[in-house]
Formats: sequence, C-alpha cells, structure tokens
Amino acid sequence: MEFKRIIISTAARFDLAWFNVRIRISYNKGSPIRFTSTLDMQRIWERSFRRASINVAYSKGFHPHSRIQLGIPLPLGFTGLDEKVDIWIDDSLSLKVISDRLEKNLPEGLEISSIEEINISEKSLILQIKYSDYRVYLRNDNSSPQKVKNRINNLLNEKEIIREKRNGKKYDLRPLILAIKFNTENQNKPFVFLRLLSQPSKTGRADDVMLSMGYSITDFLIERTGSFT
Amino acid sequence: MREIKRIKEFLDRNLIAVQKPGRYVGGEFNQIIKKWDSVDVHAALAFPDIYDIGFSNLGIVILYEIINKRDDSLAERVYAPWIDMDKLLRDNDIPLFSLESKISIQYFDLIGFSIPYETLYTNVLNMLDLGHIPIWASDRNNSDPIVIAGGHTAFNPEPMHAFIDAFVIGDGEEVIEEILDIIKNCKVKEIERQEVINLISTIEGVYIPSHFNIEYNQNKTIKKIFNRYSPEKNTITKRIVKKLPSPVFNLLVPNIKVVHDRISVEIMRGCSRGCRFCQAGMIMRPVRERNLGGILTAIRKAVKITGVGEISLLSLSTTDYSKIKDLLKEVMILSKEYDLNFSLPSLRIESFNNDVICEIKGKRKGNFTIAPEAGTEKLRSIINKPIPEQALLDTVQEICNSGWNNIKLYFMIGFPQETMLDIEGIVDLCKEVNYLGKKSNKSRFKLHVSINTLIPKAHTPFQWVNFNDNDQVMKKYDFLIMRLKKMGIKTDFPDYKSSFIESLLSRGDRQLSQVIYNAWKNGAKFDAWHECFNYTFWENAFQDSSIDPYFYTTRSRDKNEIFPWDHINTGINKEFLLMEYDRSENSEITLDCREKCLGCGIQTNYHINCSKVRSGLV
Repeated sequence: MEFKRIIISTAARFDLAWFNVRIRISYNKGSPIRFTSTLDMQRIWERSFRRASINVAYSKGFHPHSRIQLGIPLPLGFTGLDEKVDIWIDDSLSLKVISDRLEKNLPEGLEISSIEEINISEKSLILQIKYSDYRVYLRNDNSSPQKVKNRINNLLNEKEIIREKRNGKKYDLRPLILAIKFNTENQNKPFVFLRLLSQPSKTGRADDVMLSMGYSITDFLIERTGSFT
Repeated sequence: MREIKRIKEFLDRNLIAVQKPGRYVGGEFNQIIKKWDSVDVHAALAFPDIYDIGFSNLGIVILYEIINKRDDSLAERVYAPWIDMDKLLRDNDIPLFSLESKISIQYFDLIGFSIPYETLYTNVLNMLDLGHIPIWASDRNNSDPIVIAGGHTAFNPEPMHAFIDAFVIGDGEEVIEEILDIIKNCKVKEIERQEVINLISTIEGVYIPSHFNIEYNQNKTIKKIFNRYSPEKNTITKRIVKKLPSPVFNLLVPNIKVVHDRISVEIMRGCSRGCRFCQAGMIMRPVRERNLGGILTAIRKAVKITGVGEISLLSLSTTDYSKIKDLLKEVMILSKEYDLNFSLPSLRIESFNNDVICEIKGKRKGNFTIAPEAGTEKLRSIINKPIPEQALLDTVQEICNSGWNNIKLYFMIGFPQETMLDIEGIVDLCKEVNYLGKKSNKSRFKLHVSINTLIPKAHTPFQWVNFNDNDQVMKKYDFLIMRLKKMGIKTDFPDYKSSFIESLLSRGDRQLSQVIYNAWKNGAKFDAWHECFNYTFWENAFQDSSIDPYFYTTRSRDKNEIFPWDHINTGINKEFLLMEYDRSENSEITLDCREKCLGCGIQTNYHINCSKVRSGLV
C-alpha cells in the first residue's frame, strides 16, 4: 500500500530528535483560505502533511504535538504573498519530493512558492522578524488619489494614535508605523503601501492603520507582501 | 446569471465584518464543484444550524457523496447563517447561497433539509425566507425548488407539514436516487411542479403531507387520518436499506474549527436494546452491522484522503457490535500505525468488560461518559435500561484504575412513576462514583453530571407519557442542585422552557405549523442555542394562534388515542409499543431482542430475518 510509514513509537522518536530535518516553507495565502485563522492554520498544515504521507516530528513533553511553527500571525481576512512556516520533518525525503507531494494536498488558496532546509537550532521566525510590508487595496469608491493622500498626511501629522486591542488594552499605533505611502504606479490597481513593526508586543495592525484613517473595515483588502529581519 | 457575481462581490467585501467568515466560503479540501450546466438535477443539501454544527452531519455527508457520484446531478451545501450574517444578507438583499458555487438556493431543483431535532424548525423557515422561497408550501409555484426534509424529526412530520413538500421517512440512500430520477425525467418532459411531487409520492418511504387530510374530534384529538390522493395508501412505511453500503470515506476537511471535527465511521445502524424512552432505538430498527473489514478499509482510506487523525466510531450502542473485541484490537493497531486518536461514543455498561477497557486504553484520555439515565434499579427497570448498581460501580472502578480522570454521568428526570426516592438515587449514585474516583485518582478526578428532562417522543413506548410540569421539574432540580453542589460536582441542567418547546414540537400535530410560523415571525430562530432561545416568541405565538401548549405537553394520553404520527409506520406495531408501555407500568424488563424475537413487527412488516439482516446476509 502507498501509505507506508516507518513505525516508531513516540518515545523512540524523542531519542531521534537530532535526526529531524527542519524545513521552511514560503507560501501564498489567498481566498478562500484567508478566512482561516492562524490558530486553525496549524491544523491545516498538519492534515496536509498527513495527506501527503510526510511524517512531521513530534515535540517533546507531556502532551506531544506535531512540530509546526507558523511565522508572524496573518490576521483573518488578509492575503499573504510570502508567508512562512517552519516544520520539523521525520522523513528522509528530498525537498523536491516534499514539495511535489504537498502541492497536491493543500486546500484551495494555499500555494507553495519555495521550500528550504534550515538549521535545526535557528531562532523561531517570530523572534527574528522585525517588520512587515503590506499593500492595502482600496475599493473603487474610496480611492480618489487626493483624498487618500490627505488622509495619509493627516495620519502622519498625529503625534500619537491611541487604538484599542481586542483584549481592551490601549496602545499607541503611531510609533509602529515605519512607512506609509500611496502607490499609483499601476493606475488600475493603486494601493497604500504600509511598513509596520512586527515584533512581540510591538506589532502594528494594518487594518488598525486604515481604520484610524477613517476608513471602514469593508473599504479595503489587505495583502502582506513580506516580513523581514 | 443567477446573481453569482453579485453574491461573490458582496462576500469579498463584507465577510471581513462577520464572525468566523470561514463559515461562508466553502473551498474545503475534497469539496466537489461541478459545472452548473453540465448536469440535469441540482440539489442543495441544507442543515438548519450554523456550518460549525452542520458540517459533520452524517446524513448530509452521505447524500453529498451519492448525489455527486451521479453524472447527471450535483449537490451543494448550505447552512444557516449566524445572526450577524443573517442581518447582513437581509440588509443587502443578498439571497441565501450554496457554499460551492455561491448560487442562490432558489435556483436548485430540490432543497433537502436534514432535521435531526425539533428545535431547528424555526431555522428551516428562516433559511427558506433568506433563500427567497415561499415559506408555505401552498404558496410555491413552478419556479420554486421542491423542499424535502429527512432525519429523525420526519417521523412526526405534522408540525412542519405546511412548509415541506415531501418528507423522506427512514434511510435516505436509495430514496434520494429515486427522487433524482423522477426530477430528471420530469425536467426533460417539462412536467408541472405539483405533478412532480405527485410522482415522488409513489416512492416507498416518501410522505407528501398535502395528500393527506385529518379529521378531529371535539376534544381536538384526531379522529381520522386519510390519504385523499391515493386512498389505498393511508400509511407511509419507513424506508430501510437492508444491507448498509460502505461507509463514506471521501470526506471534506473543514478549514475552520467545527464541532465533531473528525472522521465519523458508522459501524452499525439501529439498536435492539429497547430502552423505552429512546426514539432512535425504535425508529432505526432493524439492526444492521457493517463488516469489520469494510470498517477498517474505510478508516484507512479516509485517513489517507483527509489527513484527519481523529476517528469516531458511530452507532447507537458501540459495545453491542458483535465483533467489538476484534474491532477494538484492530483499531488500536491502526491508531499506533498512523498516530490516530479514536473516540467511542455510546458505550454501554452491561456489554462492557475489562477486556474492552483494556483495549481502549489510548494515549490520550478524555471524558468517559456513562448514561445510567435513572437513579435506582427500579426506575431503570421501568425505562428498560436495567443496569445493576454494582455493575455500574465496578465499571467506574475499572475506568478509574485505567487512568481516566474525567467521568461524565447522564441522567434524566420526569420518567413515569418516578418518585423523590429515585431522585435521591441520582444523588447517592453520584456520591458513590465521586468517592470511587477520588479514592483512585485523588484530586485529579472530576465528575460531571448532566441531567435532562424526559421529552416523550413519538413512536416510543413512552409516547403516552405526559411531560412533567414546571413545578414537578423545578422541585426535582432544586433538590439535585443543592445536594450535588455541596459535593462539589459539576452539574448541567437544561432550561425548562426550552425542553417544553421541544416536547411540544415532538408530539405536535398540524395545528402547530401556524405556531411555528408565528414564533419565527416574532423573532424565534436558533432555538437550540441557549443564548438565542426566547420563550416570549413562543408564548405570543400560542396566543396569536389560540393554541393551548399543555394539550401537547403535560396532557396524559388515552391508550386508544389516535396520534398525529400514526400514519407513519416505522415497522414497529403500535400494539408492541403499548405492550411495552404496559410492561413499564409493572416494572417489567424486556430483554434485548437478539436473544428472542419479541414480535415488534419489524420482521413481519419487512419480511426479513433480523439476525441475517444484522450480520449483513440479508
């Protein structure tokens, strides 16, 4: 049967932890999977790997779980052009085979752009990333260039922008905005370019920026184009 | 065309503003999308609660597979939008649409609702309304889909008779194919909608409420039920598939968290135990087991195709599966081989032994649920779920020894002949179990007790029993809450009013269609949700329709009464149910009919041999 796996007990796997390969997948997240939360993405990856018959390694500890480490969380509804996930593999398959098998087993909207092997002891993505870039596409009725530019200027003139987090805590969004610019190079698809900090406890939310400029949540579509160290 | 573009644009823009937008986008792994114009018949499979709840509904899963396997048909899914989405759809005049193609459900040839429980009724009306389909069946015309309903509630179809064109009573696997064939032929010949419905009525197991007339007595009970369309067919006999087809393994994988997010494999249909309160146990007879090899193959294939690592073996009474020991052994091997987690609902104490417990010692130990239902041996004899107290405690001891720390006990109150001694029995039993658990597993042990109110159901020996009134129920609950809390046991109780409505709808007649409509008009929907249920909507509906709800709930029924569901034949004779009711009055136990046929009617009505059918030999 095509579903062959090396059978080793969970305990034995712990001892073989040094044997794992850590891979980093770069992928695009589009519709409709953009409506799957970061929390649920863990399970999406786990099941995609199982369908592809690739063994994911297990974490040590009292409640072993598959070692899948997502990059900086992508908020619900955003699309992503260069998202990353780290996965510890318990199989000696070539990257090409992994990529081929995985491709056929991903849900609609997920696309792999590249897979690389990385050092097993590298710091997690979340600790490495400093900032992320976004493109905010405004819906037609909102994109008159002068109006957008005015709003951006007003925003940049603010000394502080106090916003409320989901948990009710207040924070200042202004210092988290590294850059904001209206890009009209492609006249058919103009967008607001945003560069925001993406660090633990210092993460700017692109939708928050747009909301604080007076737009409503249904006025725009946000795409994260990349996160950088 | 068919508003698809408008719906898609609406979704693209507005989904970000609703809770859990993943409920409305489809696109799950293994989803089947066919070109609309490539098939003759278009079926929408509807579940009248949110995506999260309806996703795993086995009825929809099975029908989705059967319909989409045919080259001439397609099936797409639709679930009830949650309150926020409901409002958004209405505000923007967007019709309710299917998940796959985003097509307004009004353009389908048929809409099949799976309705497992009565508290979903108002949602059915709401979904039709959102789909721009006339709510009253009599208002529909040639351009409207045929609205079909199936599932357990179809066994008393009368309260919903005014909204549903055709009910499918019993197993749907074969009936659906016959319905599709008729619709396909009729489309070719451009036959009128009403005539299509008339043709569907010839299918065994299909009930067309508009073909039947009811005459009432002065006291509002029923005098006569008759078929005015085909006078020779005054009863509708439940459909059964004598040999179960292989379980569905080509399952969809959800992109968001859903309830029962696991591979469900039905290992057996029906139950021969004969608990007198249990509707499923009566209406799903005869018992049909799937063979072991087939089950294991289905599990392997499903794991491979879906990547889901959680498996649930479904049946009404898993431990009654004849090869349960072999099954569990094999399951444990699979579990190790593929890293799977198994859950086994519906284990029964009396068919349970140490071997079984040993087999199911998995790596993760969740809740262990036991349903004694009643607090004393006497009452357990009355309801025909005879579990000796000692056997129950021994099992609990065994479970604790095997390392489970969470035990859940299910009870019901409101059984006939119940006294306060039986209620005290619940407390005593919980006390014993709690003691055993604490003794074995110390502080980590947790006991959770869930106590429901008996809702007498149609087609059961307790269909004559009155639903307990508010004072009786409150007295018992107060007694239990006080004592169980003192022992630090976590306890759940349902809302009385909510059980009252379920009780009303379970044994309702045609008069209740108006009540359901009025309640929905008043604002009732998601009645199964604690946070949405509002009794005022229903109370006003009773007044507006001059209906006395106590007629349907707390009233005692005469043994000669003709019930609103008497024209629905489950294969079990009413005389048998009455005999069982009489036996309950004398606390007489009726054994599992595997040992000896009790003449419930199944064998003679279907001309089958139960033991052959059980093992799949037909």
